[in-house]
Amino acid sequence: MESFGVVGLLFLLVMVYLTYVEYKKSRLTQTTFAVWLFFWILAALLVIFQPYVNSIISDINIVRVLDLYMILGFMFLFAVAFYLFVIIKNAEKRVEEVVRKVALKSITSKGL
Amino acid sequence: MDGLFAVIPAHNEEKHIEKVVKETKKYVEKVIVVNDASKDNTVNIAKKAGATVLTHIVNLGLGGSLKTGCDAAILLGAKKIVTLDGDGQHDPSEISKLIKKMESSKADAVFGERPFDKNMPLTKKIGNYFFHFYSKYLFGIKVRDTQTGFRLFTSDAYKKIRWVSRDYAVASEMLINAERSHLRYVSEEIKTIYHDDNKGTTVLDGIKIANKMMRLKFR
Repeated sequence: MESFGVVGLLFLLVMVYLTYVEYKKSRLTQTTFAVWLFFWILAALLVIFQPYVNSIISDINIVRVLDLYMILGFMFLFAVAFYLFVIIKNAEKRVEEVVRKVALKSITSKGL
Repeated sequence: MDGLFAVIPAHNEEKHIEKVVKETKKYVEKVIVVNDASKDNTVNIAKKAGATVLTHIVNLGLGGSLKTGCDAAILLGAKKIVTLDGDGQHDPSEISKLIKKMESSKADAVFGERPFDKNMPLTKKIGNYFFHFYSKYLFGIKVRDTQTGFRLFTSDAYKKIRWVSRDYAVASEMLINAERSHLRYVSEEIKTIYHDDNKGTTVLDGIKIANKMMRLKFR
């Protein structure tokens, strides 16, 4: 394994640990924890079995493993951006509803 | 005046709100000021002037404030709602002018229309001309001034034009919803008073409104 692979594995180990810590603090649900764990393990397998991956990716016209990581990384980031966009829009909507409810409560409770 | 409620959104308007509320009170049954998380003394001044004040604990923007105010007006039994800006840009004595227009034309909504003359700053004039043609081309809206906040509509009309925009795009969305709901709407010339400290819309807001309108086109 090249030094790049070792660095990658160390990074993934840290990420597994951080994910576990977040799960223990109940900030992640069991499902979310499982999804993230699966993702880190998959990434680790790609690093460990790099020679096998090399032969597979050459069939789909990707020259280097690094290029594959870049492509997967971008795909992941776009998916995360979309997911965050949806979450923020929903949160904005909920905040608006709550703020309006609180404002209107003052007239209904006073019976104005 | 019976059943006519005024809705005034206000964000840090301690300088103008007293005059606006006191003047508006002469022409309507109730004045509702929506304090959009102001950091100054807007709430106390508006209350002292005789308004019913609703407070947003978080700033929602112009559209969000107008929606809260109009919802409150409906809850309190309004038959007609007039909206004015809290910064004194509109002359409340012209409320009667809008009512007369509504009665004579049997319209569901009357939209104030500012003359695009020398009193209007050049950037605003360019922006208003742009939105006039943009609205006409995209939605067939017949009103020339699409961005003013001085408007009168019946409570039934409000239920049809109720908007989702929280920001300045509310002015355009109101017109779009009126056009799509086949409401009878007309416009009436109004004065506009521009203050030196006028906050109003910026070029960036204009871009956001145009973008929102394009999205509404395909909704």
